[in-house]
Amino acid sequence: MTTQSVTENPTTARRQRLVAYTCWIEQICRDDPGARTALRSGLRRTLDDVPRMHRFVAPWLPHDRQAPESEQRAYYAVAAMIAAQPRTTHTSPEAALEADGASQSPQPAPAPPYGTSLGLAFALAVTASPGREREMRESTAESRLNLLTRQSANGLHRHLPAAVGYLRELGVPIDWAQLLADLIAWPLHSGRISRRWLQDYYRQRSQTLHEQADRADQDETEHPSTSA
Amino acid sequence: MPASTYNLFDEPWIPVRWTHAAPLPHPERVGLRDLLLRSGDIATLTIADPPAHSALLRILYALTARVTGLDESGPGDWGERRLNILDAGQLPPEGITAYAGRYRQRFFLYDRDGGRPWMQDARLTGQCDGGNTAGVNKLIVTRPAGNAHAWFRHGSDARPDLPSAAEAVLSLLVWHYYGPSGRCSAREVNGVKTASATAGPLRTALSYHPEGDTLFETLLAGLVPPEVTVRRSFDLCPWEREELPDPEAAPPLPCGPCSRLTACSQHALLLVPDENSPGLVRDAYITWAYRTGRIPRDDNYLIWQISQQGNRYPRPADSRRALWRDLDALLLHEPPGTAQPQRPKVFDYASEVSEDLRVRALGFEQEGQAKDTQFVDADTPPVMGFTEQKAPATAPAVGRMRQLGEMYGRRLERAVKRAWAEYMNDPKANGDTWAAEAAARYWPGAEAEFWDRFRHLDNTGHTLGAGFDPAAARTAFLRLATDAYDTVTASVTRTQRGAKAVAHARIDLYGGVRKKATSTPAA
Repeated sequence: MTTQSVTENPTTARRQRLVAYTCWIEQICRDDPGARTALRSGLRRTLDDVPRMHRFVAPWLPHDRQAPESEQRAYYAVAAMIAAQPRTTHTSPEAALEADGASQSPQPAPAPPYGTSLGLAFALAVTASPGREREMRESTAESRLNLLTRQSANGLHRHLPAAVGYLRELGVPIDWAQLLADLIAWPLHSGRISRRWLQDYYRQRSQTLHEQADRADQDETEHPSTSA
Repeated sequence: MPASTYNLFDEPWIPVRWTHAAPLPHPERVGLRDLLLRSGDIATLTIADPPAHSALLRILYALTARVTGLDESGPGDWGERRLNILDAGQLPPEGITAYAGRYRQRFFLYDRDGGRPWMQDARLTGQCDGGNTAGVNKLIVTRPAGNAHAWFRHGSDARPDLPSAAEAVLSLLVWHYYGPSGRCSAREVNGVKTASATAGPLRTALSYHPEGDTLFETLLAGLVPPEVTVRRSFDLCPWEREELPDPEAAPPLPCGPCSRLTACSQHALLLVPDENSPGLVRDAYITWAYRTGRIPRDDNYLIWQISQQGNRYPRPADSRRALWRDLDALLLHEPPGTAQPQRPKVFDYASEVSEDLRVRALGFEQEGQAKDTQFVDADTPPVMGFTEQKAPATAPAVGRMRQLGEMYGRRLERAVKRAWAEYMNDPKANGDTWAAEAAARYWPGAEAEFWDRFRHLDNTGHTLGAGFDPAAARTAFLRLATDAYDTVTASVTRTQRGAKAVAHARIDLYGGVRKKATSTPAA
């Protein structure tokens, strides 16, 4: 995101465009309560049913060719979900910035063209973190995530707002740009995306255990006599 | 009758490869006499079947001991005498001539009418049913015989392709050393008919041979000093005995290196020449040699280990197991491990011949009875220089590295099996498919990694621990295991249960959850 110089890479460029879009949506939701209400009204609606959103979203739709309806729908859905976040997150820009920063720090060295997936968000929701009052139950997270990964594009649009809303209520940061990218790609690559979500979730969940085992193993290798 | 003309001393039947410096001519095959006379010009035997190779090496070790006089510990120091021969650069020609002159008549491949065909028993024509012999397809272990499935070649027992005499001799040796236990042709001795054989002395075992630049070095390095009590007049090879052994009596116990190398066979065979084309073998009798008792297994070229029941057994041949995993068992006097492996005795003395010996592993993955799986043939780079006297510092590093490589292989297997069981939701689910695929991905990489690190070890003894970096080795092996794990399990991670199982079992790659908290980081 920060590497402006390598715009040659189409993946990076695409990612930048998506980040710019979601940042801008977050910004107008903070600064303009009217816009926020307008965008929020589009939650769980179809494209023909969201007259108040076009003013904000339409300019961002890819121009170069007629964007497929599924892609347009992803732009609208993500904007609506951003707008539907609890009000507290919009009022304090510092908190939003912090959340943004937090979404990147726990992931060890994220590859620049990709953000963090929804699976990681679910895992973070289960993990107790300082400054959060509630956390998601493991079984809830698993079943919700599992439900999402088995949906068609329509089903995903139906279930995603509730799931994301829940996550945001718990204060879990969400990489909106990545979510948008996944939504756009869902009709073609749902298998790959759901695999990444699931893998990220379970990897994050067992990360502490793995790191401990890894450290112990490393220790045993380097000092075979002491831990034998 | 051309029967008694094929003499193994003279006929070319052993395939060899010559060294670059060898004077002409370079025939593709040589007889025993030429082989012994020109062993310094021969690079190696080029026998395709590893069990035949290892069997013939044992015959040649015995012949080498005979013609050099190294078959007794005296006179003088055995090791010094061996070095003198090494300095001469060839096996003593007068010894070879004398030995050939004395025993040439026992080296005929066919010798009917109460004769003594080499390594065979002419009595079988009378004791076995001539109309119900084993046939050449049974004789050659790579062929399908009887009702067995045909995999790589078709063969009909009614009209078999007849092997050449050279091929038949090598197969004869394979039977003597690797013959199966169980039912064989019936043999009637003194009115009692039996058809049950004991397994050959090397069956299932993997043997390790030091290998020099020439066959001459290889043969000398393969000799083990005989006990002081060994007398060559008693320590006889089968063809040197006056009488054929009595199949009713208990088998004669080997009493020295030559008999231990050549006279431990539990099988009796007889080849039948083809009357029409003298170069071919038409038929074979294959049956048991001793009705009662078994010659105790002992061999200086095997790694012996102790089973959980406390029995001593040779390390079995496993075609999926790479030679580097045995390397520390070959180089160390007391390698680690609960099986208490003992390195082959031959390596205690081999390094006196040359520092640059390679190790060749030859064997036959098979079970005690009829089933044969696959040949095993592997070769190391020159490693004997890494023995303890030369560089004591490298030995623990080699052992440690082998342990690391094996540990991650084992953990990978456990991890994929656990992932599979959890994915199938059945603790008894058999994850062999994944385990086999993971092994196929891990071990070749690990082997390359091992030799690469092995080459970079410092054998001068200047650096502490031979410059071995356990952390880097661990990272390398762990990465190989992780890559294999990810690839093998990728197919199920799309589903929730699969992703969960794969993520859970991954911890086994790091050795699993430790029982006790690691509260003593710097104890």
